[in-house]
Amino acid sequence: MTVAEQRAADGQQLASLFQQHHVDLVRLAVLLVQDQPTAEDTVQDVYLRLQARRGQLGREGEELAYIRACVLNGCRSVLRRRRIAARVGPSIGVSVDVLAGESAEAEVIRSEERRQVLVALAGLPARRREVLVLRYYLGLSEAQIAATLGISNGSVKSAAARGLAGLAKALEKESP
Amino acid sequence: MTGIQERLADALAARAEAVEVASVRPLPAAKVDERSVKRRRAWLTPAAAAFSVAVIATVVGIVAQQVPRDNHERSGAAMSATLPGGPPAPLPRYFVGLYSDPSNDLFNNLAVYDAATGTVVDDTASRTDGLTFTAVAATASSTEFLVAAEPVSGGDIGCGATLYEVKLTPAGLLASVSALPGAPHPGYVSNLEASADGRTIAVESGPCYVQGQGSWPDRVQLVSLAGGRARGWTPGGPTVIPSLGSLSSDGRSLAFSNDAGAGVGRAMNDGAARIVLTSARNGPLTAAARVVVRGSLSPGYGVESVAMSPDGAVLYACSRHLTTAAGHHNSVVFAAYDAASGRVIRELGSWYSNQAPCEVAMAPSGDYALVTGLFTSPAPYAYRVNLSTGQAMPVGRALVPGTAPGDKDPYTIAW
Repeated sequence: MTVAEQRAADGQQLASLFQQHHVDLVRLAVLLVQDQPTAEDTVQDVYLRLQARRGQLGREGEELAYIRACVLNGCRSVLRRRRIAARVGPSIGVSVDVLAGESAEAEVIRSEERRQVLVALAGLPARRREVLVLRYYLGLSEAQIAATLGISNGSVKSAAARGLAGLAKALEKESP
Repeated sequence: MTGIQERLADALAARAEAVEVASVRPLPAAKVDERSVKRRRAWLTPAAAAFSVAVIATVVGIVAQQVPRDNHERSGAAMSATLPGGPPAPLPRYFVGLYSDPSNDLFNNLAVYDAATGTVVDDTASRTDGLTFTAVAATASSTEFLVAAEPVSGGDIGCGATLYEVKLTPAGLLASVSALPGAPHPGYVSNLEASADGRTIAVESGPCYVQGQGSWPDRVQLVSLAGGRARGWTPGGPTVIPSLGSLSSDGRSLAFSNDAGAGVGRAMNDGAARIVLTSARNGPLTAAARVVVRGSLSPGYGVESVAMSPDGAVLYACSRHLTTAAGHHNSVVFAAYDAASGRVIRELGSWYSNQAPCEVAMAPSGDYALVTGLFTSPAPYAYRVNLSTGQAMPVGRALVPGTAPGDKDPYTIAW
């Protein structure tokens, strides 16, 4: 296979993977950045970046984990920019109240209990939040989370434990 | 699982499922469409040619003088879609707009407004008897504008449009409103834009208005002023009544939007923002353009006004959305988009606004935009947005067209 043919095949694999998992990746990003347009943009950015450097999709059999890791990185960048923007001025960036601001979705997440959980989750440090999303939304094992985030199993375990403790503490405060 | 784990899993699942498959914006095509840049030469129809060629010499003289140097440097190069950076250019002090006095709605008048306070500095109501203004365009100079106007004779309007050059004094007063030489346009001009390099104008026009039948714009033309060559497109569903936003400074791309739901009966607008390039073929406008910001297909919601950065890389759009906020039905979001991919670069502002369409105008430097037509809460304001920082400063007045006699709030503006 020539280099050109290999690149074309890689490109097709990338497009196919994204087509297959696009909505799931957007949903994953929504859980971290909170609003759907930003989540879509983040996934799209990852897609375009990977497209520009075809052939670098991680090890065989771990392509999806690699793409998820890229999406998580993208979400982290978004959150970092938001923190900077919030320091510069309130008019930049996405409203903090995005959790309740989307009309169609508001019906689904209207439950106050769910809202409290999501708000508490958004208040956790990035690593803990990511571990909890990967564990309790995607249902990944500790080893899979460790591979996705590039950290050790022990770090996953401690981040999950601390994250859950942080959630519980935040929710206790919310409870009357 | 413990209680907290179950609650977390439940909340995450519910939030994720709220993202409906159909609502997710599709990914862009795998490859950039590298269409041939070979251009077909098309000539204007004789009548339109007479109109456009007549203004060539004067318009070139008007708008080519003060093109920002960096616009030339950027043109033709690969553009990166970024918001302005560095110290912004001086803020232009005045903008012009067209208003329709509710006590005399036969005439649309031209007025000059202070960009900081929104107050009317000067207007043409008392000095342009017999003319009604229909379109206004900014140029590279903040004190020179182009307008289209037509005579009002016997109570009839909608025919015989002519282009005028408007010059302001440094104090914002109307120094001159002079007709450009050439034969009048056979119909009316509903939208007008000029490129900063002075080589291209965009004209949206239609046939003469017939009482009782109305009149629809039937062509959008990009006219190359150097030789009279033009691209021409025909509006049709879902771009049946386009609103031209702006031309890039090199005149190669034209951004436009349309009010969703307008035109029901013949065809309906979809509320999307689009860009059409000079390299696109003549023919249906919808086919020649590409969507940058998706529409809503719901009357009343979608993009209402657009402007483009001078290099054509960033599209700024204000869009109306349904909101669930207590006491409000609609919100207006002003955001920057990558003109090539449609990706949101940044949300620059959002306001509750239930009525008037918003209107965006870009300063010649591309560093600021004005957003008017907002019914915000608790008080209506127009905003001047620094596109580099996103800081939105309220302009002192609402600038929302109303029904009170003497109202001079503009329904369209150029800065």
